[in-house]
Amino acid sequence: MAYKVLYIDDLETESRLKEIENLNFNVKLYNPTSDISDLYGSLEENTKACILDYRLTKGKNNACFDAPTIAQTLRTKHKNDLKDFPLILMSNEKIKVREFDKDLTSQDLFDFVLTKEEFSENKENFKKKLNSFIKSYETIKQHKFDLDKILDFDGNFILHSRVKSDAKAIGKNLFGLSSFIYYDIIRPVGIMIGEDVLSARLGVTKESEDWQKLLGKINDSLYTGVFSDYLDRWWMDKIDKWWTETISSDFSLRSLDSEERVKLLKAKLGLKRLTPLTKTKHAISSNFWTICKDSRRPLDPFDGIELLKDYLPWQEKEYLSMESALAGKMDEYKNLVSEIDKKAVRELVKRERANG
Amino acid sequence: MNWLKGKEQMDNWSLRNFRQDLSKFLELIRDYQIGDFDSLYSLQGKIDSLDSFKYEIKDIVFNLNKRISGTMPETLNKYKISLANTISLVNKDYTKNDIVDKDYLFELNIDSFVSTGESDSKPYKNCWHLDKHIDSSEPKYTHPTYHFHFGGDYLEGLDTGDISIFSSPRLPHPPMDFFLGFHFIISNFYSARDFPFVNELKEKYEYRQIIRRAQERLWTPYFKAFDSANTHQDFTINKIFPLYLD
Repeated sequence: MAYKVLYIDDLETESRLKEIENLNFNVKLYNPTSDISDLYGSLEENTKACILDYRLTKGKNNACFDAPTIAQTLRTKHKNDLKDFPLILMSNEKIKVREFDKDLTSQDLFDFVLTKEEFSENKENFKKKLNSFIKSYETIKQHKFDLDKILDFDGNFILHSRVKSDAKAIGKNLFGLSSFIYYDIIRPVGIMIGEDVLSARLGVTKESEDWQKLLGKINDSLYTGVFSDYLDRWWMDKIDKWWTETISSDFSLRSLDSEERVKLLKAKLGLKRLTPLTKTKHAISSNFWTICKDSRRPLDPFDGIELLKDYLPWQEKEYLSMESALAGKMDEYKNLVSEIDKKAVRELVKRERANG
Repeated sequence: MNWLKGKEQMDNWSLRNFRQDLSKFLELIRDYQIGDFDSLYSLQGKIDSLDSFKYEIKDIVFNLNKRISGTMPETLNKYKISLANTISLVNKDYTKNDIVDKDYLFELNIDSFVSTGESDSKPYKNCWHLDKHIDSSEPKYTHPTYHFHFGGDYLEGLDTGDISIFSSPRLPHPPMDFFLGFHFIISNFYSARDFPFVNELKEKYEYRQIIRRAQERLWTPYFKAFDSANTHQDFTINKIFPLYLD
């Protein structure tokens, strides 16, 4: 069944409405007026999400507020009543979109944001993502905020106590818990890992012919809770256990370099076509454990440039590789890099220039 | 596996490696409630402004509330171990000279208590120093270059009861920084049976790498003294282990 979605835009041409409809959503357009309470009239029962344009003041109905005001009104109204639904900011204005991006700021209004350009470039992804957020709210309600059930957590393992207490502190707030799960638990490297980090930790390139077969062998470690219909994640504790029980009880993954890991994987699983990952330029170690934030190439954290920001206790730090730094990516991350690392990069650049 | 081997030893003294190790170290120990490591966090905030390897840390505090077997009085069951450590470097050839400057300090001040849960007794004090012997005049007693000895200023003026306190013997021991000091403390004062984190930590690859790099900095040149091909001028058998007769 198509989810009912409210689309708020003051200058909507039918085209965007159609485009969203074509993604199998039941869309209703609302052109805001100067009276914010008119919004409630347009808000039909069973609305599952709301997509807002940023500027809302140029239309024929003379609204005098922009998307954040409406979002704030909706959030406040539904704070604890379980009728809350995902709010998505979609605008032509890149700057405004960035201002409300949860990855860049601590804003607390929209479930996710995107530019109209990003929407047009990958509509299927938008569809998948929006559906996943809507389902997340449904699942949280269905399981009455029980985190273990929402995450489909295997009781044979132990969930980090701070994850549990932080989730509890959020209380019965759908937007709060859903965002916490998506942005703080599922996406960061830590309790769960994505495919690139998984590849780094197993030491195997994703391009290996037998990569899919290898993934099949660790299917039990796959994350199956909310948002798993949008993002592929694996439980790191389960991967560790699988490694110890199936591959090697003598050597931990972390203590081996990529060639040693691949050798063991091949021998134990009978997979032949697995290619070991190679180091990025200027890296010393191939005991890969993380990835470069920019290039997503494998990295031993010791070789990386640590990105200085606040990490929650169960999250692992993020790094930039020297290779990316030398390829001109320092500027983008300069506020997150220590002076010592900046100096090291400058010296490397100098040395490289001297060597022609 | 041992990728450190081929690397220039001096790299281990680079501020960048030190910063990486401290950062990872703090990440590794944050999950355990071992004590108060604020001073290390504050050092982490300062490394960026340093231009050479140098630090002075007071009060890395370990809080232990399980009895350390063999301690006296036998009723002692709660301990506060404070580690202070200062290291700066001199500009010398590390292949020939000990590059740790003479302001080197490594001090363990230990307060022990008899705790009933509700209240604690007076602190029973104990103190260990790992000193660097500075060549001045001929010492009256044997002074290995680096030596552990019991006692220090911390004990002065205390009522020592029936116990006499010696500053001999001075036991040869290689120098330690706070990484090795941490390793020393959790290995010597924490029962691995009562504190599972001890073995857990020691098995972690990253912890081992941090300790290995610290060893590489401070212990490798020291232990080379026993190598017949040794050319080091400060770390010779006679200096680090003067009891030994050629």
